[in-house]
Amino acid sequence: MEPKPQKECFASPELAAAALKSRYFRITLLLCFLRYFTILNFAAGACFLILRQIGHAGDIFSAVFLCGLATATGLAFVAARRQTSEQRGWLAAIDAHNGSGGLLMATEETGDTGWRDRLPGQVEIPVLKPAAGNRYMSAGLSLLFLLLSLTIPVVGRDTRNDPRIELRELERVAAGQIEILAEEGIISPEEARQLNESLERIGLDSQRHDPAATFEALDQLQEKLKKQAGASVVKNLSEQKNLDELAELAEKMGKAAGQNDDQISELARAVSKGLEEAAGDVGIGSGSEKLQRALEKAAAGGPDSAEAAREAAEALQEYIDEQQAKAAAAAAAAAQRLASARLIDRKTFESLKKAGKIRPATEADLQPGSQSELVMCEGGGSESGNGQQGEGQGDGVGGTQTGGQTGSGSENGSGASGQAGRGGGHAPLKFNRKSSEHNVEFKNEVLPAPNEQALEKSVAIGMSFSAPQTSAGSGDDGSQAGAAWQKTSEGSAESGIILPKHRSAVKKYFDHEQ
Amino acid sequence: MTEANKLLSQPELAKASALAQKALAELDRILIGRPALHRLVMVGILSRGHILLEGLPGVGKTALIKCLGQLLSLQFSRVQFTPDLMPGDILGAHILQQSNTGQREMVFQPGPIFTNILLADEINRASPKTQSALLEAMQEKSVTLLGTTRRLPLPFFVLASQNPIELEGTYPLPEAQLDRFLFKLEVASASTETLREIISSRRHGEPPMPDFSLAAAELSELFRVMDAIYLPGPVADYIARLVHATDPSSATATAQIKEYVQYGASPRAAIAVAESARGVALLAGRPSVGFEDVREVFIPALNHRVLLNYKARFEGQTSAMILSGLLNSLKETDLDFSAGVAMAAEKK
Repeated sequence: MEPKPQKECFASPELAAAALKSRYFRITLLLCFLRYFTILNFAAGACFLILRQIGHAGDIFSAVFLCGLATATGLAFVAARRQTSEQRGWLAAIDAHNGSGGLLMATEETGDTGWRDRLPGQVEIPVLKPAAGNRYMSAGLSLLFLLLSLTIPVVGRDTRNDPRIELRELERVAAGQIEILAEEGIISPEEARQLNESLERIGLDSQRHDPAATFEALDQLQEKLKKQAGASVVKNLSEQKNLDELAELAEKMGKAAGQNDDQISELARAVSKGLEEAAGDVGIGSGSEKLQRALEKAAAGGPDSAEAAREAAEALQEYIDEQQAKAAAAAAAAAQRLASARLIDRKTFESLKKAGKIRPATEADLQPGSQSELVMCEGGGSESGNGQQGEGQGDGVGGTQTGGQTGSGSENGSGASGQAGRGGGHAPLKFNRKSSEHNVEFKNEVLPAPNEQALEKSVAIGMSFSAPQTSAGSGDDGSQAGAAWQKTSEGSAESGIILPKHRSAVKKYFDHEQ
Repeated sequence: MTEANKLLSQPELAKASALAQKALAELDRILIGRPALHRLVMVGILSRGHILLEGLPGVGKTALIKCLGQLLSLQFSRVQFTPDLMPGDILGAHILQQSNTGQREMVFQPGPIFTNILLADEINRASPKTQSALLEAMQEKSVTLLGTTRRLPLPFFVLASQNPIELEGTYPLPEAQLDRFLFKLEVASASTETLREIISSRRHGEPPMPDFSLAAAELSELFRVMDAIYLPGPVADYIARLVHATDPSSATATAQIKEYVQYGASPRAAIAVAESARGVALLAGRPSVGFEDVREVFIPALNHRVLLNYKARFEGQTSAMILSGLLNSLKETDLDFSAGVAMAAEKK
């Protein structure tokens, strides 16, 4: 039940009239504001939708809306003031409400105060109520419309007025790659800043009517980033190689201890030199003091050289083991991040493969939620793959699908240890397994019968120009068609296949032309 | 503050109001059971208006008018209207008479209309020709015969009674005639209690004689006070808006009026409402007219001035119903609130 409005009493009719007028002003102000606010919301929502559609929406909208809000409030104030001042008969309303029999009005009009004592001591004012139910609803609807206009996605946005290409996703990926390179210390912060500026410039300079230049620039930037990443990987591998050589020398020095003092001295000097080179090239330290002393002792020759050589060999082996463990862990982490950022190019991939740093993907890597992009072998290539299919090569390495078929390689079946798990790797194709992304299964469906025989019996009655019809892969030959592109003669992913990235560029190009 | 705008003093208004109340109380004492009707009749008298009482035979119309005539102690005439009544029977006629010198001349013999209170009993039984004889007398308080206009004595009231027009042998009063009556009051049948009281206290139904009567001077003083009752601007505006709204072509006319009313009320109606509202204020002892006074007299003053169409008659709509709807829909003040602002109907 609606609460009964509280009555207000005043000492004089003039005060009561002023109070009634004031109340009317407040109610009118509210109603006017609701009206203008509703109009503003609808107008602003419609404008913003249009602006978003043509791609000109920006932060300025908030400022304009706030200005509109202030204007609406001001207009409401002016309108309420005008409506209130135009009203006459406040005293009459109070007279009627109090049942004064016209005494209030007569006293006011004639100025005769002879009947003042007959006026009511406490003058009540009638209750004014805002009946704004519909206006509240309209205002709410308009506000909802405004919010929706800000949040709902624009369908079929017309970007004809925007000469630039939509590169947000590509820019985001590239920016992430630059950030990873900077974090890994592969590039300096200054280089990262310059690369980011280049990326931004590419986006700003992009032209919808000439997308090829933009994508070429982006590809060049990507190549540059991959080269930087590759250089880093090569550096790691070089360090590993140096350590291997040192290990070989340590082994020789250990064997030569007690047999050939001259050879010991020579080996000790070679080890020292190798350590110095390693320290200069790849940052490996010059070993412990114990190792240094043993090497110096062994190099000096003498009766204790055999013992010193053995000590040096042991110390060197310990040092190498330690460095190898560190290097392996660092290399694995860096390579993992680089692979995640799709910064491993073909050459680097070959290097990693040769060094046994890649292992085949396992079933676990293909499970939904697996974050594996490039599976690295932490044990230096000791794991062996199943050898069912070759690794992806070329750009397929940097592809976008885990264990997908894009860029699949040759079916040599050699399956050497440490094969790549991406780019159409060894993982068996199981069509009854659920998709990792969409959690759906492939549907078993009988393909339609081939119609080549019908074609043999057909008679040509005319020719027409039309778009080529794509076959669903029917028939014996057709059934192979789907997989034929995966089995190109050289097993190369670069053999004329339009990769997804380039495909979108081509599509955009032709979309623009249409 | 000018003299014209000065309100009546409390003592003089109190005296006049007490006098009017006393007359009303006497009327209520003599005729039992109709205080509201008596109040309106008294308001009509104070407003110097003519009153038409309508009701079935035997409900006390004539008794009320006779009683009023006695109470006012004015010259009183009664004319029983019949179908063969001629205008001359009311107005008077020139008669050829021989003077003392033996010369014959036409001498005017005044009719019963030359009185202060004319009781026109069963006025709708006379022919329209005879009914129309009252037109000039009622409006201009004069009678013109053979080119000579004669003033009627003042005050002049026509207190008429009529049977419902559906009864056999009746002639409905023309609109011009009806418009001259200040009020048309319906005299309904008495209630059981009233009837019981009448038959138990009145032998042969004869009402008692009044113990008090208003002298002509007192009546004149009442009329003077009536003229000094102040009509505030918003109330006058309310009356004007009400009367204007009875016109079906008016923008403020209600849907009912637009549908059922053929002709709205005349400016004379507005005057009648204003005057009778003053009478109500006087009875209430107030120096000014209020909205409630207007509401009280609006329907009696207008129900015979609003001409309904055939659709209204067919659907059983009466003037009182339509005017009541107008009273409820039209705001008293001219506060033109914007849409969305409502004033609570509750009053003190």
